[in-house]
Amino acid sequence: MTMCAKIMIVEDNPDIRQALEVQLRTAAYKTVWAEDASGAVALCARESPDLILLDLSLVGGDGFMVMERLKQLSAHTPIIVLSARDPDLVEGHALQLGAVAFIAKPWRMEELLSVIKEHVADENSLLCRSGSK
Amino acid sequence: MVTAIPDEQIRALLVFPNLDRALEIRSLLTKTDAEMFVLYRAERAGEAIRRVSNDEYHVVITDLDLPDSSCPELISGIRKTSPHIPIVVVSDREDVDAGLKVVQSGAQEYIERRLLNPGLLLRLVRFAIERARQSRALASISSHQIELKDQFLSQFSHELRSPITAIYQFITILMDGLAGELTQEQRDYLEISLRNVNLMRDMVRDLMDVTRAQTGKLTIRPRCTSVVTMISETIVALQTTAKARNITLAPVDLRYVPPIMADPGRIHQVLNNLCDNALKFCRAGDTISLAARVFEQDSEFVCISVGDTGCGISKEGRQQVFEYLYQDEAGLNYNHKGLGIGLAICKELVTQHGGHIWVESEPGIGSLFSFLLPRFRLLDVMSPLISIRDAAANRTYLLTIEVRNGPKAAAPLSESTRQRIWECLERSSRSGCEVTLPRMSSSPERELIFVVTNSFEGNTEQQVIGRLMKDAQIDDSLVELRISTQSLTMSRTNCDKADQHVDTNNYTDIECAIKSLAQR
Repeated sequence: MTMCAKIMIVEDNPDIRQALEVQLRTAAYKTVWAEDASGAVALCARESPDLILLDLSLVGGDGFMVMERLKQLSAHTPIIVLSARDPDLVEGHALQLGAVAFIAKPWRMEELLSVIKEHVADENSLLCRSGSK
Repeated sequence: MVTAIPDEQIRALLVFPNLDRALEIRSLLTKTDAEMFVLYRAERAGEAIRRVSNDEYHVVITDLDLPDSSCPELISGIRKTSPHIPIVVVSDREDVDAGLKVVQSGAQEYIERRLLNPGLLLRLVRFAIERARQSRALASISSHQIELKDQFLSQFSHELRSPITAIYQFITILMDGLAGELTQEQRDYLEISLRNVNLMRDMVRDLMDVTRAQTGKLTIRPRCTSVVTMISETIVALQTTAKARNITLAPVDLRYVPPIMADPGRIHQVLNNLCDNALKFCRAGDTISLAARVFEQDSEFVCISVGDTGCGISKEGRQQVFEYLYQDEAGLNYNHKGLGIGLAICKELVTQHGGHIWVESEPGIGSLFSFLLPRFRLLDVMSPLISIRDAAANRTYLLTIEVRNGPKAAAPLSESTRQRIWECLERSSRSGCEVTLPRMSSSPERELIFVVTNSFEGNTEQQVIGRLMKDAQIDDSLVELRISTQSLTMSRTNCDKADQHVDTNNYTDIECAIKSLAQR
């Protein structure tokens, strides 16, 4: 199966990270991951991902702060926030800061993949056709 | 207001209409130590309430009989601004009932004037001040403890969500076959695990909601919501549990139910809690029915109900069933305990929507929980943004599509408009070929079709829209308004059916276009 778009996972819980990797691999996405704030910024600069899945509770920095830094680094990379925090308290702020979607944990795989597809679909299909990345 | 126990002088407000009485009290207070008190006098209750709210006093000593109000009214007025100031009431009469009444109203002491002597009055005042200080300290500790409890519950439920997420995701990974084929037995066991982890997830959510409700932070985000969809999704989610226990869970009477103005997530929660509650009180062979209809007594509301043929609720239980931590004995007999908060949260949520919830039940026959929610009215929420051409028509339809053409597309609808509309379908597309829509024709609930499009590579807008409408089985005659975001500098022939052409160079927001339509 051809690997298509590259998705960066920013998640400090290794079990949840692994679950994400399994689900994204199934949908033929390439994944890279970071577990803390500084790692996320460095990885984003190095890997230029097509989309970022971002947890808000991270070691070494608040998720919102990380999001702002990622946006400064790569303004056009869509960020989907994936969080266990109370959506009433954080969803609005996340969208205001530029997240394209907020998904509450635990999530349904179909929902996650459908939201990802909305934001990387075009590039994904082109990359698949060219068979590289 | 009293803020601290006095170390030196006690500022006392004497509320006595009769000057002689006031002088008598002053004489008693100053006999032991002339320097201990600084005394002020008010003749009437109104004046006393004003002075207490403006100045700081350590104690109020008042006559039982006042010219402008009753003593309990004076106490209640003072308590509004100074909940902890000690109040000592002096009476000319031997009236135990009156004494009891003022103490119940919040006075610290009640004493008959004939019994007073300098030592006794001084003790009464000092003790009243000390008790008030202790009461303030207790209130402060209690408030701090409530705050700590709320913080703990909030942190606790957040921490619980991480392991629940990991368990849930791996169960679903296994059930989706991502780690290999499963035997039927393995699948059955995973379904049991999934059911239980969902139960845990719901309990954590309820726990968070209790904290929010008690601190006034329980929020709802109402929008146009389909009752039929809510009921269908609830049934799908709980069907496995119901089937496992041989309980029938089914919708009834859903022929025409208009949409409601409600938070879909919250209504899911209400329906889920009510069905979960019904499942607790049902045995094998019982039935749970979900129904909805326009409320007969007020057509501005939709009545949704969850009925069961379970064991029913006693008369006492019916009165308390929506209270926090209430557990009905019948439920305990069935060995299905819960946290006792699910129904209380239902009441909170329905009330926040401007609705009402109640229960009818007969022990041994079953229960019927019903709740009212306000109907969605497109005209109410869109007005004054748009004017619908035929406001009298009952069946106008709504669908918003924004077909983007790369980064040059028009700015998307704002969140506030998005929440007002029935359904917002956004698709990114260069050619328009990849865009699909769900079938819309069978739904009686849509109110206005509102098409927003852009230009496509290799296809005219009309071709794309035509195909979309055909696929989604949308009758062209139902399209009330069309807006094209195509630039005016381009040919209009491709979108000549549009009512409004929007130049994206001039309009930064589709809402501007909607407003301009409204002004035509």
